[in-house]
Amino acid sequence: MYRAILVIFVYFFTGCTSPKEPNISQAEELPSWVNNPPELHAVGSSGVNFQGIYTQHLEAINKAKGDLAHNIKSYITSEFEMESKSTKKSSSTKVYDKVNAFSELFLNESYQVDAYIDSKKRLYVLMGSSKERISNLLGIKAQNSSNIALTALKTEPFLKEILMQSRCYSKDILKGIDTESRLYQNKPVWFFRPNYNGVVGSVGIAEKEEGVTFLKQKSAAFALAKSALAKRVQSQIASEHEALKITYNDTSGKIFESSLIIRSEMRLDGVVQRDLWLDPKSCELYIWAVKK
Amino acid sequence: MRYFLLIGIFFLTSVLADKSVLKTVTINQMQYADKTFLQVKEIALQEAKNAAAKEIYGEVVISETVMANGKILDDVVREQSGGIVRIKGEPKFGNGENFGDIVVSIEAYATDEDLKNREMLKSEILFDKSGNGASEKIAQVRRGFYGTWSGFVMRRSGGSGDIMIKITDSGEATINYDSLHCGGELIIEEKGADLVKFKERLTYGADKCIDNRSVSLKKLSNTQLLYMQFNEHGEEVSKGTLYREE
Repeated sequence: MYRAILVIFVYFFTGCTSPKEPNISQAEELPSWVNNPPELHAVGSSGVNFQGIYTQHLEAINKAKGDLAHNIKSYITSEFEMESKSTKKSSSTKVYDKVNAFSELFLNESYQVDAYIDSKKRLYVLMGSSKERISNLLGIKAQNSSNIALTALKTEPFLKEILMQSRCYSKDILKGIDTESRLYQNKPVWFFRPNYNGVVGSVGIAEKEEGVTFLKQKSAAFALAKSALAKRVQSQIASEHEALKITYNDTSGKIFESSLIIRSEMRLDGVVQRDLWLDPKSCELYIWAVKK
Repeated sequence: MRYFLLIGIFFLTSVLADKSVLKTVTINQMQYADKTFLQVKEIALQEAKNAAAKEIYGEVVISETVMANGKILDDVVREQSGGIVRIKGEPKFGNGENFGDIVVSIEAYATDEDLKNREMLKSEILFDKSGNGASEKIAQVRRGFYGTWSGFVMRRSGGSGDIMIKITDSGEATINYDSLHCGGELIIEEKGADLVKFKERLTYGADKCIDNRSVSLKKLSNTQLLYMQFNEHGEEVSKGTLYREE
């Protein structure tokens, strides 16, 4: 009797618990370049940033540029120090192993080739530079340039109805925003491939600030796009990576620190806005600027 | 005769105007509530002139981005443009589509000489090209945990006392529990932007304190850290705020 009651009791309580979630930890298929960037290319990634997509995008681009600079030319120093102490009672060994890598160069023609946003909203950016430019930089004979083949993107048309439901601006202003390009991963295709259709392009993204007009937001986004274009043409990169490994008897730890400064000063003529897109949810304005 | 002269001047002006642009700018009065109508008109005209200068003379875009440990510390973008902008005729003012809109249209130009003179002017140095400013920002972030920190900690067992931690920029760290007369070295196990984890190795007073505990420091600000000590089961055994000593 007692057993029967127990079984019923267990049955009912089992019913109350939430069903086990199916194990769907299938690895997400990322573009092949994320893990295996082609020669003379580098990948940078950045997680969701509370400061917005502009900062996330810039972080990913700059990480890739820093790595690209290190791949091209870097100056490495290392220090190794071992200290052993022994007393009648005990003995200890302390080891410091430090490696510094510096890279400082002017990188001409470094551009975003492709980008991808994974299911956790992490942004991956593939940056490249031409073989000719890098050969010049290294003072070696230029070899044949190779363009990497990009897979076709599954794009969707831009739907004005969705934008018109947005509360970012008045209907009159929203009516005037006509995005011409198709969307991929809910963003215009040129956000991922700013040079598609053979143009020299870049993207600027400005967030909507309280009390700031659409025209001002547009002007900020365009200025950022121009800045990105200037950095693409030529930028001075100074980057440092420091890896320190400390071992004290059986305990060891690692510190990795990096710093990066990217500067650009460029006279830009003939830069025009090719397309624009307003994120209906975040109200961030994306502008695609291209060189005529 | 006078008419011929006027027509002549008109044509001469057109010939010399090597680069001319038409610019229309709209601004809304609501954004300049503290300004008079005349002042708002002046601002609109100024914006139109700026837009014309950018188109006539081009722009120098200057930018600098500083990153440390994968995070952006500073991103500055400046646009520089300028030169003599001449206006043909009078600016035309009107009302825009929205309430309070002021629209101004100008026909601006620069002569050959203006363009040549502008080319000869070098762009001003807007950034500290020595890189000291950027390096200082990076140093501030990297400094994060480095330095001498002291404070008062409370123990779960009920006691309390003063501690002092010294972290050098080469990663060496020591800890002193003054009130307990023990201390030793802190071996860095993991370091993030805001949190650093150590393993404690006592080098003196081992009979007064427990060895091999874990210590975490969490950055609260440039001058404050949160100290946490954990036992071998990962339970927090003491906690306190440490302050940077200059």
